Amino acid sequence: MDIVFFLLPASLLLALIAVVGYWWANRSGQFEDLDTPALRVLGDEQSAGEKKESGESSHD
Amino acid sequence: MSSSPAASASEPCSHSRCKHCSGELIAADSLAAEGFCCPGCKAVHHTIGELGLSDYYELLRKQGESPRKPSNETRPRYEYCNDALFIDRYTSVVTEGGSLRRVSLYLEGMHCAACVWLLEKLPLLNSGIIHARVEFGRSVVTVQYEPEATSLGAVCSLIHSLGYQPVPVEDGEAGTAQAKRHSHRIMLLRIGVAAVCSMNIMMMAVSLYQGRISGITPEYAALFSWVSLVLALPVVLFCAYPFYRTAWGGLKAGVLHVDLPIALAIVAAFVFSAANTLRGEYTLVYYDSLAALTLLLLGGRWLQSRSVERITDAATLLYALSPRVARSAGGEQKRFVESLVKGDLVEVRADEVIPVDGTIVQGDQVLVHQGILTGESVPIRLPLGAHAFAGTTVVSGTLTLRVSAVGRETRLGRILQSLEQQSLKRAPIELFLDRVSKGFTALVLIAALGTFLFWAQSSGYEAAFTAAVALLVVSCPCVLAVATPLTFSVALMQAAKRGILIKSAEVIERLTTIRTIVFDKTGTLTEGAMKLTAACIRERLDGPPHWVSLDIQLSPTQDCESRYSENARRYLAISAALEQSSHHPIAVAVRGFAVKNGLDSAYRLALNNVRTEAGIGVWGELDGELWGLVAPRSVNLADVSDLHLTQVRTVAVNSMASEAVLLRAGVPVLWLSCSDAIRSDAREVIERLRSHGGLTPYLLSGDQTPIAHAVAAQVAIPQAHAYGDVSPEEKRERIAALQSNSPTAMVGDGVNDAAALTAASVGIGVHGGAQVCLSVADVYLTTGGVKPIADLFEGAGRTLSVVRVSLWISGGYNLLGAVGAIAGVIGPLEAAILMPISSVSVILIALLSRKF
Repeated sequence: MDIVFFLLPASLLLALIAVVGYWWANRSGQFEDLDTPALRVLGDEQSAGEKKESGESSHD
Repeated sequence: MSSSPAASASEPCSHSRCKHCSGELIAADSLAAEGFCCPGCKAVHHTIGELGLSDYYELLRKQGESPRKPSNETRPRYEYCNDALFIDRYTSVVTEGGSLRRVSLYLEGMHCAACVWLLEKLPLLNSGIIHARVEFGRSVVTVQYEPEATSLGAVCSLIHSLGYQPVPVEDGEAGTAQAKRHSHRIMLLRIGVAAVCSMNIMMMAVSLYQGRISGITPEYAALFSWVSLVLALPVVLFCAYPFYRTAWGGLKAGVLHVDLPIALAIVAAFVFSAANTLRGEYTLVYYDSLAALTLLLLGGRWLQSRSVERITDAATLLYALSPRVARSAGGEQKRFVESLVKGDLVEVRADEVIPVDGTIVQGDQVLVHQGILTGESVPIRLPLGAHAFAGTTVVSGTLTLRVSAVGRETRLGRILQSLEQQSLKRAPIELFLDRVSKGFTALVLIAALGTFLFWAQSSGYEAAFTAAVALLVVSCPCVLAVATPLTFSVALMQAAKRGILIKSAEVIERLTTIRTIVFDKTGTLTEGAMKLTAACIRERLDGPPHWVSLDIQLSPTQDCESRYSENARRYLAISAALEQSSHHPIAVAVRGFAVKNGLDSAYRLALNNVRTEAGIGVWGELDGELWGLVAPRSVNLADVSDLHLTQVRTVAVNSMASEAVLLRAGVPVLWLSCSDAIRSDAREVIERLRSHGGLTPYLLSGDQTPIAHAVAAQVAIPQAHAYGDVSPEEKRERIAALQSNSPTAMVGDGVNDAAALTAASVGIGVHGGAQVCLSVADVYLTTGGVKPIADLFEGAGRTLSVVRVSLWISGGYNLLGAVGAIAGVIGPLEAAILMPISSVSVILIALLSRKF
């Protein structure tokens, strides 16, 4: 179980990287608007689906 | 490939709806034949279709929404946006030295995902637009465009043509916006760090707990204990900082804030645990409890702070309600409103909104709709020399005004400015929860101190510390700090799902303290538009006059052919046809009724020689006969009335309805009355509010006093509580007066209600209301009718009940735990387990119970 002495600091390092990433995302304003992205996805699904359909049909 | 709208071109137009906005097709003309209600809708539909964006309608359908009708103005009016000064003020350069410019535009009419989708496709519609991003919560779209390739005016026109009216937003609020954004980000950072640290600490805590029960090798215990200490440091020093700040601030002000025991618990737990880690007592540590506590509390606090932000900046609102440009008298030249000075002459035409305050120098007896300021449902005729106000609409005719006030100095501008100031001053009500928090805090502190002293003198400091810390941890006010905000947040979401948008949690509590409720009339208790409310027909012209009432309350699905006689249908159709080109609300009411029942298309009438006689009515010829739809006073109606008609007319006149008579070759054959119909559920709801809620209702209306009294009588509001002819300023005064007696709620929908809404304890904005009103209201009801108001009050009551139940349950737990901790029966391990149990139970109650 000595491996714990290595694993623990290693996992903490990963956690630290995650925190840094989170801090950077926060700083670059990605958490500014949490409502619009939810709505945006609905629209994109629509047009992506259409594109796929028309793309496939044109292959015939 | 294209969606259904194109397919309906061949449908008969009698029961169709506009292809774009799904509104009723009013005019029986070529536009209607194509399936559009107005040139605006046609233009938007065309633009959307041309660019292959017809998915827009699909998306909307899925959301259950329909597009808003664009305004009637087809001519572009954004040339003023290209003025250098304007560009300087409202746009900014994206990167230093680059040419790309960014502008934020506040939009009226954005209400769903389809809007977001369409607007973010702007770059596809104009190659000069590089990027478009929507911020739904604020109803703002930020556009980046290349000034070389396109102009700001073109950008605004494009957005306008899609059906959204853009209003440029000044970046003037940079100061406060910046600060808010900063604190919001730090809060998120604190939560993130707390989450990472607490999860890792808990991972190790499991081992330590197990070790405490069945033994653990000292090296591992030391490792876990020390690493937990290191991870707990950022939590204690950074994440928990807001609690220290408010606790200290409260102490300085002599107030016991609920954050005080929280801060003490966190610090005490850390000190205690650190001491133990240093001493080698590795398993007797509280790091996981304090980290989890901090995380939960921060999360709860963050939930509480998420309230809907709306633009309440008076300047922006002003420009959303009145035009930015005015037409100089005597020409077509348009000028920026702000460049006008007193004494300038401005011309306003039919269907246009008046841009300034001024005196009328040309245009006598012009019909102006002042509802936005006064709440009157019918337009009035203004004589020469009278005052006209910015924001009101010219219904028909042309006015030339001498400017007396511009922008913020206009009556509208001053009302909006007073709103800005009002919304900051609120009558503070001692909220129930505030009182509970204070009592709780005091109790816990005293108990902790007492416990510490008792054990210190009987068994020494270590035992004392253990007991005191156990007490602080187990009596953590999780219910107050987490479950209660959660209860409110869930209540807000449930309410929103039912179309009741409440701005923040404290509004719910304020609702339960309300004792008086004031209603606006037009648009709130009434439908807000003139509708045909009664009609009588004289079928036979020989013999004594005999009038029969027509059943107007026909539902659209019922066949009008079976309900009405041939004569009735014909007369109604002729009436509608005569009023075809009029904008008077009565005309709209008659036409609306005819269209709804398919009468206009059933009788394709070609009237000849249609002419209007001012003050009398409209005349026209059909098949050689002269028909006229006139005001009753220009005909001797009494001569040809019977008892029935006289009775019906008396009722109509008493409720101040407008009348019109159809003459066939000079003989009255049809009598119509139109009024602003009272909403069908109004009376029932008001009675419910009185009996169940114990609320006292009042009616304040800008419309004439007799009308106000008539409406009050019909909705069970005592005559003494009904007032008419109330100006917006007076409304606010009256509300303030009522408010000083007992907490008052105000229900309204127009600009003329906005000031009153902020004076009330709770302001409720009704469906179809002006953007201004919605911005300042605490509650916005998206579904029509008065019933949501009753639902609102009942839901608020239920929410508070849930909170009280949570308090009792959690209180019980805390008491047991506290007693145990004081008695030394419950140690740190047990405390650390009990606390989450009590928290989880109240959180579950908060999440799962039905409030709205």
